[in-house]
Amino acid sequence: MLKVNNLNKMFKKTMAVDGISFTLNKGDVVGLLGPNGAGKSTTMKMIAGLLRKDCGDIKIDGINNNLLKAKSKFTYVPEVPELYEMLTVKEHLHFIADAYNVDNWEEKAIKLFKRYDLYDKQDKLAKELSKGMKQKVSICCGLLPEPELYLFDEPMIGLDPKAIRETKLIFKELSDQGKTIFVSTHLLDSIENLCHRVLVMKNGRIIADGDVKSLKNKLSNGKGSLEELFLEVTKDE
Amino acid sequence: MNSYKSLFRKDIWTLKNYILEIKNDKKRLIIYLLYIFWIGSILIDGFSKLNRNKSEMITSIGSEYIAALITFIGIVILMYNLYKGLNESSTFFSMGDVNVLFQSPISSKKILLYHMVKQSLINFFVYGIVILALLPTIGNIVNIEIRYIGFMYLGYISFLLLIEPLKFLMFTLITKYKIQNFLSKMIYSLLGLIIVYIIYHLVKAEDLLKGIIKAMNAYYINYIPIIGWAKSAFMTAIYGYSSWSLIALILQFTLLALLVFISYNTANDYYEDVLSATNKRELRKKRKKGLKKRKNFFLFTKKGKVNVKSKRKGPWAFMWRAKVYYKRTDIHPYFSILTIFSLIVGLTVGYFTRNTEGIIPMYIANGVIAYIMFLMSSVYVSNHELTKPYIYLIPGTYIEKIIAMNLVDIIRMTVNAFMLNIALGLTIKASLVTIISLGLFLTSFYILTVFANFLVRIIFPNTIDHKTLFPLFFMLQILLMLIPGAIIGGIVATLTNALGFFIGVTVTNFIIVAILILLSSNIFERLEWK
Repeated sequence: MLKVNNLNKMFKKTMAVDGISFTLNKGDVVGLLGPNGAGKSTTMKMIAGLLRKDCGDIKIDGINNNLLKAKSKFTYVPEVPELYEMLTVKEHLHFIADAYNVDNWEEKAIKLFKRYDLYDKQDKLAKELSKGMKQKVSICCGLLPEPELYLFDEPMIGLDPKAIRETKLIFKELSDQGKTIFVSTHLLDSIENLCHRVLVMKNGRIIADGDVKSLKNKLSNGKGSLEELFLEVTKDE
Repeated sequence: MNSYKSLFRKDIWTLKNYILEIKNDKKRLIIYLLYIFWIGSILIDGFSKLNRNKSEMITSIGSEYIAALITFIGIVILMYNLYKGLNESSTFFSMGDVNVLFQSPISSKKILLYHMVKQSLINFFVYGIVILALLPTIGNIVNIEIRYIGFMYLGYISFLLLIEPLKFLMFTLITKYKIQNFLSKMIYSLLGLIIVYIIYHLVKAEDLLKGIIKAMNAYYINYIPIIGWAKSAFMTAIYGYSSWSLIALILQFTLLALLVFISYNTANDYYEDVLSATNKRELRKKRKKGLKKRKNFFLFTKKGKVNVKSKRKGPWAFMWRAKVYYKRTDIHPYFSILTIFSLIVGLTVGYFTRNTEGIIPMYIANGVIAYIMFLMSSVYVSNHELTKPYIYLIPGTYIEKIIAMNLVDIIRMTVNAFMLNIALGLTIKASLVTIISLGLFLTSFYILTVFANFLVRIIFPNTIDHKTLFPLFFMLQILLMLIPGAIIGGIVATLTNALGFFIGVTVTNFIIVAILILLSSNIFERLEWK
């Protein structure tokens, strides 16, 4: 579903992403972990086409990620939920439905509003919402088009426990439907039982790639949590 | 759905929400009406003055000055934007566009074209307010032919509309064809050429002002794209109509269409380029709202460690923080680029008015600066500290906090005010009393604008009011605070002399500030961190 090959990105003199390659298959739920400044968000933004790649390839279902055909196959939920201040919650979803040609969007939107406790806030302007509410709207915008690939950059930040649980449930449902999810996060415990596989980035490189169990076995004989595993692989040598 | 249709629909929703917001908050409607009345009064005043007869000599000299000024400002704005365009694109987008629209399956070219056209249409009307505001001043200097006022407006607007697409296209070409070095050499060569051209005219005329006017008003300037074409159209209302006026205007708008067309065909991978410009625009908006501190002159920004010794604790930590900030971003904690500018202005005004009898130039210079300060304070609000939690959390008395928070800024402004008045006063041989009085006048004026910030937070706690209506509320509030000073200054001036006015205003300002400081506990108790 997603194929990243030898991806590079440099900001002035800093190598933000340094020749990373990986493939995500249909139905995969893959976590992207790494300390601050590892290059996770840059990778996500390059896949979403918001940042230019210096070199390398990004293919979504075999199509170059910048082509319109590829763009209709994925959605991206950014780290900071910046919305249109003067649009209501419902209008945001209406606009997304227009842009992605979503059928029966109102029905789907109402289901999402109910799951994320936004039903009574549909007519509120984005600027009147709290940060957590904005994040919920941003997630709903990402879920509405029901694409093949979902890119989430720190989706749990700012969410209340119910919304976090709901997001995890949705991830499971999507995975069962054969959709691919690529999620970058710091909240390790929230993805431990969710991701089939994790990629760990550090200094722009992928330093570990595999399913949680095999990585645990490899590094600590299967003992310890994902957090301990993360600290182990990202510690400075 | 058609991409343009969905983009248009989104903007219609936005417009509808603005209207609903005004409808639901009648207070805002009053303020918008005040804006309309203000613009209307400018227009009525401007048009009523247009037909008044002025002497031929005044209008002849005036038109020369205006034509030269337009060319000069045009060159400065264009060169500045070309230079900026080497490292940064311009933006027609909001952060909402970046996060919601850019990832959607709508063609990036269509997104660009739609937003470029939309922005041009908005700017067409918004930038017009400036020329409307300037119309009475221009009408006082020269005779304006009302039937050609459209040329004046379009000439001015066309120049401004061209700047952003030009900057955008330049940066797109730089990233696409890697021609930054080539373009920077071109721009520096052009700048060098302009400097040599002005120096040539200065040497030839043997007079600073005459030389600049001659250089800026050479007939061939009219044929230079962007600057010259805009000037030709603008001056039609003053010099009269010629066929070139119309040709110049058509050429300007054809160039604008061409720039949009080339941008549309060239830019297909511009999202990254506009990210930084969009972020910066958001930051500028926050600065205007007082949510972020204004940036100082970039040349003095130090990235490394700066040392500022501090012995006082509690609220005085704000003073230390301010010193660190200015030490990092300016020449010195107490001396700024404005200090040098004040010195230059003082010496220049003093030099050119050294033969004038009396100290009127000092009154005018201080009056103008106080007026600019008043206007600027309504645009850039300096209450960013109130948007952070520390002022509410750090233990200490409110009086201490309010003083500690503003003392460094006040000292900096005092230094600038005295620098200007000492330089100007010594050049025109003013008395020490005059220099001190006028220095204190400017300082008191600045302190008053600073304290007005606290009041406005209590009177208008709603953040929505802050965003849209803050400048107007703030100006009204300062006007109310200035009225006592103006009345007392007027009375003192009648009883004594012109300097008495400034002394009267200063003393009144300081009394108001003292009252506000004494009431600071009441003020702070009503403040909320939002």
